[in-house]
Amino acid sequence: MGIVGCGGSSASVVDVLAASSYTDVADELETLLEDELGIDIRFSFGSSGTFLEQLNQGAPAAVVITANGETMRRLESAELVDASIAMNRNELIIVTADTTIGQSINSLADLAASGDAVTVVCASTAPCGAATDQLLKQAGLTLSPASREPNVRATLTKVILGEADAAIVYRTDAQVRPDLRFVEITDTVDVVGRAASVTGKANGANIIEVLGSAAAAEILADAGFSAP
Amino acid sequence: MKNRPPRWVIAMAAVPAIVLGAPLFALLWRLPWSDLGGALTSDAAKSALGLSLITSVSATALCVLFGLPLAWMLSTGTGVTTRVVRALCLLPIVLPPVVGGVALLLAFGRRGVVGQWLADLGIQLSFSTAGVILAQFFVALPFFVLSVEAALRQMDIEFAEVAHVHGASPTRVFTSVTVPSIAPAIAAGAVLAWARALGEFGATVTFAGSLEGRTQTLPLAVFNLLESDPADAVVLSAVLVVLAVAVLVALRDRWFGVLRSEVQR
Repeated sequence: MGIVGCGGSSASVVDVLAASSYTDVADELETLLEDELGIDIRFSFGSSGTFLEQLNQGAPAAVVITANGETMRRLESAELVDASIAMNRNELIIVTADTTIGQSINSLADLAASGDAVTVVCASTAPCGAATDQLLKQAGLTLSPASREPNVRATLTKVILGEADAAIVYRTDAQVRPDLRFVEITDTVDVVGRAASVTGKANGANIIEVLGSAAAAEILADAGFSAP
Repeated sequence: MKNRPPRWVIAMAAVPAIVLGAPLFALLWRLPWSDLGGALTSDAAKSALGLSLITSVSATALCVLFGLPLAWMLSTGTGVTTRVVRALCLLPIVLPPVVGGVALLLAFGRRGVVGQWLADLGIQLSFSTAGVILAQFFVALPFFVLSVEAALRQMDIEFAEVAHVHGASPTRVFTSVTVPSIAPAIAAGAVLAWARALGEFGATVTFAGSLEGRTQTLPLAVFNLLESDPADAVVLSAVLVVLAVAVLVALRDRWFGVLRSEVQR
């Protein structure tokens, strides 16, 4: 551990490209990586779905962290990254606004049955939206959402502002707003966040090793992510 | 004899020409010609195209309907109120559209200052097609009002005064003398407003959300497709480019006309 290239390379910044759901743990992960490896780390965030195009266009990332396995599989089959590791699990839950309709929702079935509830979910193209589609399919329920937002944070915001009565989001994103009401989903769908080093990039393997360590797992657990 | 610019000027001028031209060229270069039809006839593309046309034309109609009286007021006023209203009118041009969307939510969302009254009447603008039109109206109105106000200020007021002396009412003077004489400016302002409404993204996604067939306009569909099917996103982007070029061609005579009259002066 802690072996880095000598000379000029130590001055350069190593980039980590992460799904937006890791926004709140990035500072701590960055500190951990910098302490362990002695290199300067910089996180940037985006929607997992856009990573393939970004890496194809030569984005300077040494490591990518995706919100779900499907996105990572696409990066792997395009031979852009080395073998990935599972970092954490995240689950879908319902959050409701403090509206009369919002308060009356106590399950996924309630949400599907309520014709009046203004519900927002993620777009099918985003990992959280794909998981939502899978969740509804396996529960045999249909929703008619008022909007399919581009990412999980935009979805959550609509409930925070009171524009929507309910939303389906990741547990970790909901946890940043303890004032919201959570409704657990029985037999929920979980997604596995994965990390991989970008093929041919220095430091990638070292970063992955630290991200898979017990110290990283502790940071993730504190933020509400469950173990993979 | 013409004064030719020196070489360094030509070299400097080539830089912005490339920066502006390269993306458009690249877009057409990457266009998947073989499955152009497939990308354009998918359900998402068709509903986005239809929705974009309906909402942008509606927003433009509202801009003309309400923007004309506003421009008239602004062109005649000189007081503080006029200046404040004109500044308000300019704001959507300089404001990031996402901020405009947040402001629209705070005003017309169902918990908004105005929106909560509308909610009591059973009207919800957010997440509705009407909300898309409102967002487009918000960002497009300044382009119409500025264009028309400038024309009204430059207008030869003699005809209007003659008509007024002959006993025509102010409304009559406005509709039968003023409006016809500034018709080109009204048309140009409407086209600019329409183009701005068509390309609207930030305010729409923030205020009206994104749902296929209801609020997902062409730019929103492009953004969504980038994640799942970049080739289709390129095709829809090209549609927007073609429409933009059509607007420029439509306005060409007017803008070149302005240039010619400047030169002659």
